[in-house]
Amino acid sequence: MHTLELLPNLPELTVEESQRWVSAALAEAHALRQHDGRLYPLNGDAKQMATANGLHAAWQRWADDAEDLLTRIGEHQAQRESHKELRLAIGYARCLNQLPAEEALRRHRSVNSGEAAAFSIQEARRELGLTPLG
Amino acid sequence: MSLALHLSADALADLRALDTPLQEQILDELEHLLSAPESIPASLPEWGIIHAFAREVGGELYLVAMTLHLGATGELLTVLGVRLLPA
Repeated sequence: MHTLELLPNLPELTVEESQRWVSAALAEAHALRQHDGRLYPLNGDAKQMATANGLHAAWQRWADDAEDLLTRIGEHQAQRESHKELRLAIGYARCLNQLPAEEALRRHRSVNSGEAAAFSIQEARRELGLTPLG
Repeated sequence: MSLALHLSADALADLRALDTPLQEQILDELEHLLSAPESIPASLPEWGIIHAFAREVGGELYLVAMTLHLGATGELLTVLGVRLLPA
């Protein structure tokens, strides 16, 4: 969305113009999601980790731009269904940011080495003090 | 072939940080994955998987992203992490 830098210099967007920018942003998010399978390499390969880190960084740049776009569009148009989809995609990107590839690898190694316990869903419910199912 | 599911200690710690209704929603989604393994995203060998979904809790919309690993034999799904943000 490198053309987003144009937006501050344009007059207020019409609904139709906003919709096209939202569609463009969602198209880029969909393109990024094609590569979801390469976000979390778990074998410690340095090249794969570089690929993953590049994807994580691309998602954060996309989310920064998408948030700017939503701000530009304004609340009066932000209730449209496609805008909800954009907000969810931003949430997805920010969730990725909260679990970097290196952290997922550390967790995977911790499980595989047996140094940390693993829990079934029922055990997790008990640990959390939730009502067991069944 | 039956599928088993484990939460890592780190994933359980992620869940502890959430409110109870959100914990319930996430564990329910994991139960769903166990009963419908075809809904688990395809993965490359030795790579994690992202499973994302939206839930409305208390009138607020949340995006949940879980980082998973499906073992080589396809019989054990491990939850490595859970992240959640209001959308």
